[in-house]
Amino acid sequence: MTEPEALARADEIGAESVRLELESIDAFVHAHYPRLIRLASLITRDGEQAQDAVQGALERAWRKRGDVREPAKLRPWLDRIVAREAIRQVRGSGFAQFARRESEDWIPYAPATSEPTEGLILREALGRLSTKHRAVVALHLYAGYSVEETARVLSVPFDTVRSRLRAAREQLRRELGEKC
Amino acid sequence: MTQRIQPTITDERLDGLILQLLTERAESVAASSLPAETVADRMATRLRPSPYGRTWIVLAAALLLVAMLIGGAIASGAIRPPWIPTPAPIERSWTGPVRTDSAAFPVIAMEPVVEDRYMWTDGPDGSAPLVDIDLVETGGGRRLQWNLSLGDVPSTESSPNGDERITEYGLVLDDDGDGVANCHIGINDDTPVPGDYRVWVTNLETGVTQEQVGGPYGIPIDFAHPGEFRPGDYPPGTAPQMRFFFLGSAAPCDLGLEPVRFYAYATVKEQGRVVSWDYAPDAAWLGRRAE
Repeated sequence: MTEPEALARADEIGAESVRLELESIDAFVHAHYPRLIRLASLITRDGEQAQDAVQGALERAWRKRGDVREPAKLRPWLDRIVAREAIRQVRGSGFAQFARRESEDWIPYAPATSEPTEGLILREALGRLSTKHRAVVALHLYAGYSVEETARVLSVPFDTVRSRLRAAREQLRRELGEKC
Repeated sequence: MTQRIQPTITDERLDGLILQLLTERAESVAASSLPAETVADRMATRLRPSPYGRTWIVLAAALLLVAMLIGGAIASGAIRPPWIPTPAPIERSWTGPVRTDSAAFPVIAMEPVVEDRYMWTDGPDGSAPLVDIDLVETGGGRRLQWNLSLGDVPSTESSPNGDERITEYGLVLDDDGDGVANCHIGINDDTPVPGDYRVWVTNLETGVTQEQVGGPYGIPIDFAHPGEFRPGDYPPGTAPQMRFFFLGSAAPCDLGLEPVRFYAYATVKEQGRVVSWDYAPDAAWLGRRAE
């Protein structure tokens, strides 16, 4: 099998897989829920909000599954719905509630030593990022989307993603430097 | 992760640390989240189509709307449900000056105009302008009086003796509020002399009638008949009126200054048969308060 034939075969297998995923709710959820709950949890930083965001997004996506023309676009399409739903959940929850949940959720244990480790410092610093910055960080650094793909998922300009990434890194680096 | 952070951390190292923390966090949340099976079951339950289908839902909604409309109509009295017996229909054709079905009549409150004077507008609904009572006024005070505004003036040619055409106006009163008439006041042109009037008052409880045929008028009741005037005698825009008023006693009726209920009527008879008429109101009493 030549390389073009192998790529074509891979496309066929991928398309068949997507077709099967879209045939039943059970297959659809099993194929995408594990990834989506992880992604949502990094944007909302709250388990309950992440759960609500993913379930709402999966239902919306299932109702609109007939719109999926290209199997390769199913995953970014779902990630986009989940990311937006997660941001909406955070905005809808109110800042006070969000801040309280973040502090409780993101630092689940007290430091074992009096000296802060980089993990604890960075964990706290990540918790203080805005939702928009955290969404960019999660999609680009965790989900593996390129800057351009992240921009498409979030429906924002390429330069906006790039500047948010830079700002997030600077903030995290600054906090690490200040506390070490 | 207990190593100390270097102040000059590179992007690559920072991204690595972030990814490590994000992964730990994501796995932690994923481990405590609902299982995929549960989420799928919940979705399937919520997205399950209704067993009745869209058509049945629309039909049910339409039936609910119709039921609400019918309920509203029943509540407002616009329609009567079949389980409530329908009362005998009120006769709207001519049934004589003193109506036998008056006990079932409601009482319409007249509109106060000035002190001791009330009015009620009927509108043009008589079978002929001559007998069409458009407005009813009544007043008390020192004497009882009633004014009936008419659609047209009776022709003097319609009132010679021997003529088969007789025009009559009258009032029927219920002085004790039981729905049964106890006094009848009337005037017509059924007289031997053209231009004369026959006017009477009947106590319906005693059967005693006091009448006057031709002048001098005033007893038992005085009046102003529209036939006494020419059309030009009325100010422009003023309807011809049939007026009744007691000069003093209301004998043979025993009326106070405020008879509880009354209605008015007008008829034209030809060959002894009523051919045009109007009741005002059509099937109700007029009073100073609704009942």
